[in-house]
Amino acid sequence: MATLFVDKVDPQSGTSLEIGSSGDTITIPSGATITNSGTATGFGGGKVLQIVQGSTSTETRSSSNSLVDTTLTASITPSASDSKVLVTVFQNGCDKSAANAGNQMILKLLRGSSVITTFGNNVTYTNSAISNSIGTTGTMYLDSPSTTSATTYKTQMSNGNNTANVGTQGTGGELSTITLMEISA
Amino acid sequence: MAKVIDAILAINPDAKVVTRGSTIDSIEIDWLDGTTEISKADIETKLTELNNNEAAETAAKENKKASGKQKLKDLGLDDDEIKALIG
Repeated sequence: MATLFVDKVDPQSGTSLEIGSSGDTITIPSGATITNSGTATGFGGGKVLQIVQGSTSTETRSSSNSLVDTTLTASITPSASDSKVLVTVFQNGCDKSAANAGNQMILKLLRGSSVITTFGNNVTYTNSAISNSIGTTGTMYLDSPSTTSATTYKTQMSNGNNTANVGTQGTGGELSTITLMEISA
Repeated sequence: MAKVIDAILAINPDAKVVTRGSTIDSIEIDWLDGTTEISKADIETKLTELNNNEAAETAAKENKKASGKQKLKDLGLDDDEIKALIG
């Protein structure tokens, strides 16, 4: 077996370079490192590249039908613009007060200031003027942020009927979590 | 136990507010849609009133239960019979 010592291999013409032929095995030996600073395709994506988690136990209540922050948020900086971000939300301690039959909670997931999904509608609704605590609701949402800039995800809630009040992360110290997983393309 | 937002809505039922936190001392309140701000002192006073009312209602309910049981006993029912009737 001959050994070729060169510092760089370029195509003789055009821009494509092929190594080996069909049926061959290209091996990176133990102890060697292969570094990709460009775009790698066909390597079987779907690997978890990084995980970030945010959490909050701050009780947040609202009597408004405008969307307001629940204080649940996390930020991630994707390493590649074609990566996916799997967002997993557990919104804990959701309830409504007893003052009105129609009040209910609406929960949305946002990237930056843009709503990307409504993951809770009619949450806690009872069609009667009783209080109702449902515990946890949530979502798993696969997002394509198409960026390598820091990206913030958060949840917002509103009181669907604009009466009485709804809340999340109640006084029992309930913890809500948002987990961001960057998945390679 | 009444919450801060319950006290606010008891003072102004049309108030549009967001509260973040659980205790009156540390809570953050956003007043939305032109809702007139209510002082923390007034909220605290109303909160105490609501909690006192709740405690009084609970006590009154317990008193009525005890008084009702006693009247049944006075009629000659024993504890098992009363329990079978009202649990």
